[in-house]
Amino acid sequence: MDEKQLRQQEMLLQNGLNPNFDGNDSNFTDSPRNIADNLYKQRNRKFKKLHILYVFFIFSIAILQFISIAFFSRGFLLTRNVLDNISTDNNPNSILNDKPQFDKTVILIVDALRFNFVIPVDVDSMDYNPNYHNNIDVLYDTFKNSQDSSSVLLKFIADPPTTTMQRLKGLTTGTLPTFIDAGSNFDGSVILEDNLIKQLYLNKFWNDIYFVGDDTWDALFKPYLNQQFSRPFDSLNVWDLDTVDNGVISYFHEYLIDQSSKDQMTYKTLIGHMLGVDHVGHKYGPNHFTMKEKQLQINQFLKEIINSIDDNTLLVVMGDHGMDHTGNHGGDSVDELESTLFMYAKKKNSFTLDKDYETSYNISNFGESYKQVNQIDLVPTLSLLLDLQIPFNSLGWPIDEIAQNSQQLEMFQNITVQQLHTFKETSNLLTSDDERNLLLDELFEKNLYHDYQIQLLEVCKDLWARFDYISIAIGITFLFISLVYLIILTQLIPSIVINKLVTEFVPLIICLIFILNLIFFGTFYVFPTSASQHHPLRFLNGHFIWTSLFSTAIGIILGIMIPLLDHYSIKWLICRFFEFFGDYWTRVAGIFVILHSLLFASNSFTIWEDKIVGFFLTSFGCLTLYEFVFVPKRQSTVALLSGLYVENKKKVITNTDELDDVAAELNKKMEDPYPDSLPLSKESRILGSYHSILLIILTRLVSTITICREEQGDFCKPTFTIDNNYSPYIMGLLFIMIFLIPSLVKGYFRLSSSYQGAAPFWINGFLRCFLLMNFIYWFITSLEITVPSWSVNLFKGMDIKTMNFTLSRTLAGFSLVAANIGWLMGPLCIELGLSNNSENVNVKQASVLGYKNIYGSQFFLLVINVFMSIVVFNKPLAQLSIFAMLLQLLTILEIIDLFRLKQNIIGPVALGLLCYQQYFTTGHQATIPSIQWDMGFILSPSITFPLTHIGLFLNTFGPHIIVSLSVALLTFWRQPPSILNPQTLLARIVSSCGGLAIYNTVLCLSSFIFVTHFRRHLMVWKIFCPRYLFASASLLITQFIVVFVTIAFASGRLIRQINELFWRQ
Amino acid sequence: MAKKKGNKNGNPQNVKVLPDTSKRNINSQNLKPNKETNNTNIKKSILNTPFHLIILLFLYTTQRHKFDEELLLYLLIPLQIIYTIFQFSSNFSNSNNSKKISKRTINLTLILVVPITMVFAAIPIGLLVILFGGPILENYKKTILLSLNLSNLLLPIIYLSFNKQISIDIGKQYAVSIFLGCWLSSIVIPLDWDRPWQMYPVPLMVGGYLGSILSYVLTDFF
Repeated sequence: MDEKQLRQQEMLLQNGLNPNFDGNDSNFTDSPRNIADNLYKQRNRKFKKLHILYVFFIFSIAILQFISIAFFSRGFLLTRNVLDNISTDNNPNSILNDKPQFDKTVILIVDALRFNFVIPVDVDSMDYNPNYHNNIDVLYDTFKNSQDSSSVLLKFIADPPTTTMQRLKGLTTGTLPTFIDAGSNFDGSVILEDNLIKQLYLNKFWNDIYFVGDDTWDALFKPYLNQQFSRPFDSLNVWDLDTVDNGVISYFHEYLIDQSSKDQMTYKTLIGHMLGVDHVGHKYGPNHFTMKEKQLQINQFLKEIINSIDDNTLLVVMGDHGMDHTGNHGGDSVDELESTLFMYAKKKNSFTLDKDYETSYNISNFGESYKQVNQIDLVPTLSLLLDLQIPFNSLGWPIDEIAQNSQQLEMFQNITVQQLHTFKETSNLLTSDDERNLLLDELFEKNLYHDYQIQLLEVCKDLWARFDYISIAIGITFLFISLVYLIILTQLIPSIVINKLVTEFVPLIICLIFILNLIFFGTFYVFPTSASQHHPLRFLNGHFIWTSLFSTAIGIILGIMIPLLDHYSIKWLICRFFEFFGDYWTRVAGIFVILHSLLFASNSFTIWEDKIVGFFLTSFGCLTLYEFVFVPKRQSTVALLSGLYVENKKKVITNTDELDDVAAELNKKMEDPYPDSLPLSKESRILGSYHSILLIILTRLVSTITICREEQGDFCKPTFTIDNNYSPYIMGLLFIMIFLIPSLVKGYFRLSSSYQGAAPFWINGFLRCFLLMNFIYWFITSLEITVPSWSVNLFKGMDIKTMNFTLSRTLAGFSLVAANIGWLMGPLCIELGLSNNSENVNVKQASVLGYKNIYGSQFFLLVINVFMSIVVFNKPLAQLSIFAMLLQLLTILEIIDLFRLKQNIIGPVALGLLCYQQYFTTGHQATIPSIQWDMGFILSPSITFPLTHIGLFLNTFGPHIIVSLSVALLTFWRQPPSILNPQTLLARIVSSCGGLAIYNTVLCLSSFIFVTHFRRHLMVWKIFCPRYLFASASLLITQFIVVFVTIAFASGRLIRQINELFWRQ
Repeated sequence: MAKKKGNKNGNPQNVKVLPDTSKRNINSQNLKPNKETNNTNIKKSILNTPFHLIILLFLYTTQRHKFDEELLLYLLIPLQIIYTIFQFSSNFSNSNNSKKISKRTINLTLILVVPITMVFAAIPIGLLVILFGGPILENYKKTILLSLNLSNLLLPIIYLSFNKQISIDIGKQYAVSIFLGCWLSSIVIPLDWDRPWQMYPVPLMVGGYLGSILSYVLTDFF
C-alpha cells in the first residue's frame, strides 16, 4: 500500500467514516486497526531514519569542534625540542678524572617538603601552626650546630609546573620541562635525554644504583636502576599515607641504618623517595594532625640516617616541591615552589658557607629572605660533587657552598660554563646574528660566567614558549565556523526545514570526508615534497593524523556549507540573525553569553569567575521574578507567538506531511496545548515568583561553598575544607537531605500530577535508599578522617574500611548500571484515574493522570540516575551543592515552561550558567591543582583503569553531565504527547542542545582568542591556559554527552516509547 | 496591584520597563512612550535635575580615601525632603485627577512619615544586595548604610506615589534605573587595580547615585 492510499484512508478515518464502505473500489479490505498499524509503522520508520541522521549530523559538528581544539592545542601547548646528546668522558673539556671526594651517596627525596616545614618558626607568629611547623627540626639543628661546615641547608626553588613528574625531570636533567609534559603524569616513560641518573649509571664508580619509593622513578629511569635490589611502590594512590614511607624506612634500615657497622653494602648510590607528606597534603591538607605524625616520623628517620652514614658518604635530602594551603600542588604559588635542599657529609669542611651567615641563612618570618637556589642547580652541583659529567642539556649553575675554596669554585664554574656553551652551540637555539646570541657571546668572552648562565636560562625559557601560529589560526577558524553552523542550523532556520536538510547534509558530509582525505593524503602524505617550502600548510607534510584531521574538518565544513547555501542566501541568514535578537529573552541570553565570554579578557574576571557566574544566575532569577510580579506586556516576550508562527508556517511548507498534520489537528482538539497561555494566570504568577525566589536563594546559598583560588587571596575564605566537609553539621545536613530531597522532587512531580506509576518507586524508593546508603558511606569516611586511628573490625579480617569499599561499589554499580537498565525498561509516570463526572454522578470518568508531563517525568528519572551516580563521587559539601542543583534545575524548568520559552535560547543558557556555577561550588576551580584526585580512590584503593577514571571524571564534570542531559528536559518538561509529532519533538530537542553547545562554543572560542592574545602575559600558564583547557574539556564533554546520551540514547528511546503508546491506537 | 494600576491608567506600553543592562534601552524604550501618551504630566524643567545628588556624589568620591556612607546618609535625607517639597513635587501632577493639585500643596505629615517607610524599604534592598553576592556577616554595617542610602534615593518617588500624584509604575522606572546603576557598577569590584574605591560598598553607592541622577534627569527630556 503506497503512501497516498494510506493518507486517503487516514483522512477518511478522521471523518469518522470507514474506508471499507467508502467509494466503489473494493480494494480496501484492511480494517481500520490495520491501517493505523501501518501508519504507525511508517511513522516509526521515518522517525528512526531521521533520528539516525540527526545523531550523525550533530556528531559531525562535534567532530569539527574536536578537530579545532586539537589543532589549537597543537599550536598552543608548547613542546621542547629534546637533544639526545650525552656528555661523555670523551668530551675534550673534561677535567674530572681524579678520584671522587665521596665513596657513597644517599639521596632522599621527601615529596612536598615545603621549606617552612624544616626551619624553626616563631610560635607566637600569626601563621604558626603546630600541625606542620617545628616538627622537623633535625635538618636545621644539624646545619646550625655543624660549625665544621659539614652540612648546608638551602631554600630550593622549583620551576612550575610543580607536578612530581615534571620535578623529577627537572631535578635530573637540569632543564625546564614544558607544559605539554604535564599531561603525561599518569603515563611516565623513560627519560632518554641526558640526565643525572644516567650519568651515575654510566660512571664506573657510581653505577650501582639502589632505589626505593615512588614508582615514577621506576618508569623514568628503569634501565639505570639496579633492578634486583630496587623496590618501587605505587605512587598515585593518595589515600594510602604509609605504605611508601614504611617501605622506604624499612629499606633504609635494611641497607643503611642497621648495616652501618658491617661494611658489606654493595651499592654506591642509594635513592629514596618518600610520599607520605605529599599524600597527607592531598588527603587532609597541611592543617591536620596526621601531618604532625608524618613529619615527626620523618624527623626520626632523618636522625637515624644522619647518625648512621659513614665518613665518606654524601647525604642529600630534598623536596621536589612544596604545597599550598589546601595541600595540593601543580601551580606556581610561592608555597608550592619553595622546597628544601639539605646536604650533609661527616667529613669536615666539605662545604663552604657564606661569610655573611646571619643575612644569608635568615630564618625569621618563615625564612622569607633565606638564601635560595634553583632546582635545576642541583644537577651541576651533584655532578661536580660526585665527579660526574654534567648532563648535556643542563641549564643550572653550581651552588657556591660546594666548593671548598675559591680555586675550586672557579674550576667548577669553568666546567659548568663549558658545558653550557657546548649545549648552546650544539642546540642551535639562536641564529648567529640574533641579538641575544651576540649578547651571550659577549658575556662568554668577558668571562662573566654566571651572567652568561642567567641569560641563557632566560633565552631558553623564552624560546620554549614559541607558538605555532598557523595551527592556532586553523583551530580558531574551525571553531568559529562550527559556531556559525550551530547558530544557523539550530536557531535561525526553522526546525521543520532542518528535518529536510539533514537528509542532504549527511550523505554529502560522508562523501566529502572521503574525497578530501584522498586529496590531502595525496598532497601531504604520499607526495610530501609537492607542497612547497613556504606553503602555509607545509606542517602537514608526512603527518598521518594531522592530515586526516584537517581533511575531515574541511569535509564537514563543505558538506554543510553546500546544501546550506543552496537553500539560503547569506544575506537572508544575516537578516535572520538580527531578527533572531529581536526577542527580549534572546537578547537577555545573548548578553549573558557575551558577558561570560568577555570575562576571559581580564585575569581578574577570570579569577573571580565563580562569583560572577553566580551573579549572572541571580540576575536571571531577578529578571524572571520581575516578569512574574509586574508582567510587563512585551509583545516579543511571548514566545508563544513565534511558536504559533512556526506551526502556521509548517502547514504551508509541509503539505507533503499531511499525515502528521491531520493527526496533530485531531489531537489538538482533544487537548488544548496551551490551556493557560500568556498573560499568566494569577496562580501561575504566584507559583512562578516562588520558583524565581527559590532559584535566587539557592544560588546564593550554594555560592557560599568555595575552594578559593590562590589568586583570590584575602578576599576569599575557603569553605570547602576538610574540617567543614566532614564536620558534624554537614553530616547532619546530609542526613536531613535523605528525607528532604525525595520529598522536594516529589513536590515538583506533583505540580504536574505526574507522581504516578514508576515515580513513587523511583523517587521514594530508589532515591531515598540510595541517599541513605550514601550517607552511611560518607559518615564512615568522615569518622575515618576526623577521628585518629579509628577502625572497627566487623568480621574476621574484614575491617570497616573494606566494607566501605563494598558500599561505594554497590552505590556506584546501582546508580551507573542497575538504575539505567531499569530506565531502559521504560518506567512510565502515568496512571489511569477514575473520577466522578460532574454532570452525571453515576458515570465515572476515566482520565490519564500525569498525561501532561509524560515525557518530562520519565526523562527526569534518568536525570535522577545520573544525579545519584555523581553524588557518590563528591565530598559532602559538594553533595549539598548538587542537591541544590537538582532543585535549581527544576525551578528553571518550571520558569521556562511558565513563560512558554521552551524554544528560546534563554533556557539552554540558564542551564549553562547553572552548570558553571555548580562546577565552582562543588569545590573546583579552573586550575589544575583543584582537581580532587582523592575522589579517584573511592571505588578502589589503588589505580585501576576504569574505576579511578570514572571517579575523577564524574567528580570533575558532574554538573556538566547533569546539565547536558537535562537540556532535553527544556522540551520534554510538561510536554503532553500527541501534540507535536516525533520529528518536530526531536528537532526541538536538537535545537535546545544546540543552544547549550553554542554557549559552550562561545566560551571556548573566547578562551582560545584571549589565551592567544595573552600568550606573553605573566599569568598565562597560571590563569588563562588552565581556563582554556577547562573550556575545551567542557565543550567536548558537553557535546559528547549531548550527542550520545541525550539525543542518541535517551530522547530517541523515550520518543519511540511514548509514540508507541499514544499513536498506536 | 501594580499591574492593575498600570492598566487602568491607559496604554499598557507605558509600563514597559526593561530591566536590561544597557542605558540606551532606558531612554529609547521605556521613557519614549511616556512622551507620546502622557498620563502623568511632568513639567520638563531643568530644575528637576537633582543637583543635590550630584553634589553629594562629588562629596562622597572626592573625600580622600574615606568614603563615608553615614555622613552621606545624614545629608541625603534632609536634602531629598527639601528637593521633594520645592522642586520635584511641583513638577508632577496627575492628569487623571481632574482636580488639579495646586502647585505648593505639600502633605506635611506624609513627608515626615516617608523617611520612616524608607527604613522598611531598605530591608529588601539590603537583601537583594546580599543575594547578588554581597557579604553576609562581615561588613554588615556597610550593607545597612548602603541599603538606607539607596532606599532614600527613592524618597521623592515614594512620596509622590503615596500622595497619588503618580502611579507606582512610573516609580518603578526610577527603582529599576538605580538597580541597573548598581548592577553595572559592580563590574569594577573584581578588578585587581587595588584602588580604594573598588572596596565593597563604594561602587554600588556610586552606581546607585548615578542611576538615580540619570533617571531624574532623563525624565526632563523624554
